[in-house]
Amino acid sequence: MFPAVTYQVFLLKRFKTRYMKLSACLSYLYKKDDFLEKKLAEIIGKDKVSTDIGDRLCFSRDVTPLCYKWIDLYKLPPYTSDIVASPETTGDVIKIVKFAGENNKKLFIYGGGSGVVGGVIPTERGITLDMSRMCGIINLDEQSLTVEVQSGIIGQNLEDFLNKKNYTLRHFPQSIRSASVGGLIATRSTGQFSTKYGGIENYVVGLEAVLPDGSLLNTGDKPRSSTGPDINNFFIGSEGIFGVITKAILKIYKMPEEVKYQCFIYRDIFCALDSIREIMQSGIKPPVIRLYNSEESRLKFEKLGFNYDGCLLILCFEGKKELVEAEASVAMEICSKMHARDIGGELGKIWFENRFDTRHILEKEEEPGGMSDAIELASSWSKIKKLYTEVEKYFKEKNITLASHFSHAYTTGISVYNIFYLNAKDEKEAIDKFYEVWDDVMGIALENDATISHHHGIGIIKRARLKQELGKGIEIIKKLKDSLDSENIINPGKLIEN
Amino acid sequence: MDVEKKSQRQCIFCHNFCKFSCAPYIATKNQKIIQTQKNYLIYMAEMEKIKANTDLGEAVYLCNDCRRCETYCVFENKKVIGNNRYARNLIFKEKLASDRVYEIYDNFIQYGNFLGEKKEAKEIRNSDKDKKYDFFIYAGEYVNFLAPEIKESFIKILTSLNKNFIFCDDEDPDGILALDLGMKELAQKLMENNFKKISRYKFDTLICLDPYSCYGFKNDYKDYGYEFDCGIIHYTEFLENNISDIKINKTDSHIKYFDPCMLSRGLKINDSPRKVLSFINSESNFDLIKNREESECCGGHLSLIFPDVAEAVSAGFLKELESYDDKTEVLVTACPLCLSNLSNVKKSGRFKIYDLAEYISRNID
Ligand SMILES: Cc1cc2nc3c(=O)[nH]c(=O)nc-3n(C[C@H](O)[C@H](O)[C@H](O)COP(=O)(O)OP(=O)(O)OC[C@H]3O[C@@H](n4cnc5c(N)ncnc54)[C@H](O)[C@@H]3O)c2cc1C
Ligand code: SF4
Ligand code: SF4
Repeated sequence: MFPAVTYQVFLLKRFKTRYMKLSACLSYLYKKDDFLEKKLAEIIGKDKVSTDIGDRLCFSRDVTPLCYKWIDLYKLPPYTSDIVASPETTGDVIKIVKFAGENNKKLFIYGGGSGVVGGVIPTERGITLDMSRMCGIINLDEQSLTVEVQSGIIGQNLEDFLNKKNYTLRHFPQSIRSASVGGLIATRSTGQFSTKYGGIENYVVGLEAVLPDGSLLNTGDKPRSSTGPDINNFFIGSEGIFGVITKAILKIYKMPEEVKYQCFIYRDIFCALDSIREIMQSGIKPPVIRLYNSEESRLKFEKLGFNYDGCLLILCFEGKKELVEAEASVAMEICSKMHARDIGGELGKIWFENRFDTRHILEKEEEPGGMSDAIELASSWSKIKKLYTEVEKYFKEKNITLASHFSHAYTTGISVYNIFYLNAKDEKEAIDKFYEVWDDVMGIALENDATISHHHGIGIIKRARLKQELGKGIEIIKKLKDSLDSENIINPGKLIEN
Repeated sequence: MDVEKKSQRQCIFCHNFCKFSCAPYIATKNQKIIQTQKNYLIYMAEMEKIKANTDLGEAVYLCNDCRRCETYCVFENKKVIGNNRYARNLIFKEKLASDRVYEIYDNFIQYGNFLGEKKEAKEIRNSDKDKKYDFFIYAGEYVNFLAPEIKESFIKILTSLNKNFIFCDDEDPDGILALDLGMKELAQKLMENNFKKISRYKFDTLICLDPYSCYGFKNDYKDYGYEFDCGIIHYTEFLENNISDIKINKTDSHIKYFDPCMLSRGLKINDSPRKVLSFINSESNFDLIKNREESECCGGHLSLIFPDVAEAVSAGFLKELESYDDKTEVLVTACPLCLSNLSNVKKSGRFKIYDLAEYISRNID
């Protein structure tokens, strides 16, 4: 049986929000909400709604490490929505949003479910909006090099479609095989080739969104405009709270003519960081710059043939052949000046082939009392070394394994990806430690003027610290939310606390 | 932890990076088909936290065992077939599968085949149990009932080569479909019968016309204790070794090869059909954009249970191919399910679709 009281206390503690008793949760799992089912079926069609317990459970979890622990602890997420609605058209979304508003039903948007901050987990009862059927490719504009899609399409399915026509997105988050375009926009995602092509904000040319009152916004496909603040940017990183993104027009690229990898070994991670800064500020744009500290170099690459002592720097260059050669030689000169050891490009290719391997994280999640997560911080060049040193010291003191790498470089700074692997005596202690680590490391980041999230978003995991990072900014977000969605219908409890 | 349990747990504790690759999921958007969710729900049902129901039953059978998810799996050497059979066995026993699954079961029991057809077995050659043959040809149920042209064509090829071969004149089902559909006990009986029957003949090499049978004879039969004392090959391997002896009219149509999932991902036979094709056609590259282990799906055995979904999958593939490839005229494959599913698409566009055996036999001089 479920330890009902413990479960409820645990939930209260975790989300600092009101939850119904577990017994109630279990009973409503089996109880159909006939009104909701009947009404939604009437407005969008019977085959687009489901109250099946399996569907509701599937759509109530993402890949937040907490979800894994819940499986072994309680077998259930804290909440499931009452019903899953699967729109096929923007018209369907409008009807559902209007219905939710008129009947004060909460709406939780589910894109690909690859989020790692609990963005899709219902925080109370309501409707899950499953965007997966909105996966059409509407228009490929080969002159403007843009593609217009419905937002539920999975990134890799779009990339495969483009490749068949000799185009490519080049927005390659590691989760491209499961994340949807809508989710990628809503979380302000970035990709492994971001150093040249930028984050999703550099891809979105225009979008269509259904606002919380059911009205439709369409921003067109203009290359740029000076007509007030960029409306696209209200939705990029909005985590769904301002409305449902239904379509997007994204930039695409022609397949690169040439791709070249170069790898270097550095004795000292800070020397390597200086090289990256110089590369970025020299005006060249390698799409991939990844620097692994010596622990992660070993952990990740030893089985793939890495047998060096030091930190691994992977660079990739792509585009026209002449350009690739020129950029590679500029980078080579910078790295040699810093006494880096040139080890050729092979490990870069191996990294590319193995870039989806997340076994080291998953095996930890699966261990009793084990938990792993990635804390993706970013700061300016002038502050990054101190940030890195303090985070590393924190994990050493706590005796928690840490593997870090730097990726996503800019002329002004860089992001650092800290993967930690913790052990606890049981799942409950693991969850407590997990929250403690997150809170402490976000504290260190904020003290160092770094961001608490470079690309995963806030969800329900990082909400408590957001105010500290945004200051007045959070009031703007809250006021916007309030004016667009005064009843807090869409994605309540996400990004900002209720 | 036994293999199936470990595999189930890996899928539950997963980042789900195989999601994009699952054709039935893409066609239906039924979230419960994908490995991570299916295994999560099966696990919860086993732990009695939820009651398995017919919705879950349907989803479990909507996966067609194409193993494309294995190609993109974060865990090396993943075997999702174990997960699938485990889940289906549970669902089947709980009577939560669709009616069509139980119909197939009854057909096996009553008629000895999945279709429920009382089909007259055609004797191809007089068989002599005491005579030693070079080859024993096992067509398999899919060939016998869905694509008999493969058998006819292959016999024509063997005859033209003057080979010493035998067809079993009353072939029994191999049990692999029953195993895949979660009918474990029935499958074991079928395997035993079939093994005994084939073992009555004397031959050196068992040639399978169906990659599912070939994979089953090499792996599942062994797991159940039925090990053939002979070589087991797929017919494309035979063709590879003998193609130079076949008098053939070369063609110059634009051909692409559609890799069948069980041949490419299961048996890892990728080069043989391509080498055979290069004998008959001057095309330098027979690869579709997604080829070999990454090859796309035809709908597989979904056509037996959910024909609409199978058609959506194969039609989706053909429609997309037509949208970016304006050259290809002929699609050649080497599996009765691929042939039947792709040919059954009501509007298969401009492509002519053949099985490799059929394509060779049509061009025999
Ligand atoms: C192993 C792994 C690697 C990852 N690598 C990267 C990486 O390299 N880069 C990166 O940026 N992220 C990465 N992520 C994180 C995650 O994949 C991204 O956050 C992704 O953008 C989520 O997309 P999704 O479609 O899965 O969204 P979901 O998880 O479904 O949802 C995320 C949030 O967006 C909202 N949302 C979804 N669709 C819409 C819509 N149509 N309209 C409005 N709101 C919507 C949801 O309500 C939720 O709040 C990784 C995750 C994992 C597990
Ligand atoms: S098949 Fe592999 S990638 Fe897919 S869910 Fe299972 S473990 Fe994960
Ligand atoms: S075996 Fe094929 S159909 Fe089944 S889950 Fe994997 S990809 Fe989908």
